Amino acid sequence: MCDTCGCTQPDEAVTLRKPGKIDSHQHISSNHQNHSHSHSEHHSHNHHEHTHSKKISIETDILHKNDLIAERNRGYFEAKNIRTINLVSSPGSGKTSLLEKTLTDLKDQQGFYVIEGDQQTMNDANRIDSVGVPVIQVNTGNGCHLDSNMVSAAIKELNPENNSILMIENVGNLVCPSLFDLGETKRVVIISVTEGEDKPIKYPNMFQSSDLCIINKIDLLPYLDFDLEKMKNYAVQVNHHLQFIELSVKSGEGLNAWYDWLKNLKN
Amino acid sequence: MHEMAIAQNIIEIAEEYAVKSAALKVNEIELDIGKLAGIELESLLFAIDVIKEGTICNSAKMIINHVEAQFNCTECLSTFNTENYYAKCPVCNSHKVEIIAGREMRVKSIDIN
Repeated sequence: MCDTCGCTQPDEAVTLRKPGKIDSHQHISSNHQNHSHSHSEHHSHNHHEHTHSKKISIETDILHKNDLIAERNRGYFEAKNIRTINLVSSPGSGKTSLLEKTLTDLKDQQGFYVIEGDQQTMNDANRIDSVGVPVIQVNTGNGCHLDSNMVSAAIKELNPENNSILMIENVGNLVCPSLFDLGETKRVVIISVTEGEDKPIKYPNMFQSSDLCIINKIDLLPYLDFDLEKMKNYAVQVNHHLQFIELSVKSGEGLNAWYDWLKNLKN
Repeated sequence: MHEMAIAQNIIEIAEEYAVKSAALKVNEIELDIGKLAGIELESLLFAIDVIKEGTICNSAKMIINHVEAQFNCTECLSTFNTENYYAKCPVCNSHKVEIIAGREMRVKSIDIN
């Protein structure tokens, strides 16, 4: 599974780090076959059957390796009753702030673990670490999304306990993460009211594949032209199963609905 | 930009089957790509060109079958084709529609020597 979007970037550019252990990071090895050698040796004898071209039916999903590992992750989570949230949004919608607030408020009642995905830096993992919740940072290098193989490597390091909730904060990007199943129980897309209300139809794949839409920063609504109902209508046009929770991490309004949703979450 | 990851997977799948079939080279790779798969074809083809270099797929020609997006209306049960996720049912105007085709991303076949 290639996790990179930069064509010259080796897989080793994807790293796992725990806060406080900056020097001991781990590279994720992927399942790549080596593309660049191996075939000439096989075929140095030119057998006659090779002279005619032959069509081979494959019918394989391009992301089937990602999907297989995602299902393996999902089986692990189900067996341990770990509920897993894949948090997706554009950069700046408040994913990390929502996580910090949620963990601070609920960590005494519920075990939590966090996987932070970003291209660079330990910043988000350090923020979660200071709340006192076990966290691992996946730096994707040039990669624009997390994939199931990175999550698989991260959970081996995190070793989450039974009956916990695992929060996976994906790379801030409304496009690429939509295609990559991580094995999550639910996908939660966050939009903030400082963004355009037509985001759901501009980036439909993400809203189409999500289960819950959190509308954040509603304390700012009086100062903005953001039309909340219009945004929800757009989102429902793309995905009529989508649920909504409106909240403000800053004022605390609406957070209880989100906490109830989390508490009622089942695998 | 996830097209690079998609391209890498395509070439891996093609290589895997080519090696299994003791191929000398891959002449063609045929893909089914749904119109709502979220793939930018131009970026994908560019990425494939970069990745196939030095592999058994080096000279492979790409054949892309575009799969039309098809939806089923859960209210009136009619089936219709459309180009976007936010389309309403043309018969009853409901947006309670489910996609039944158009998200495909599949390697369909390879042609080898």
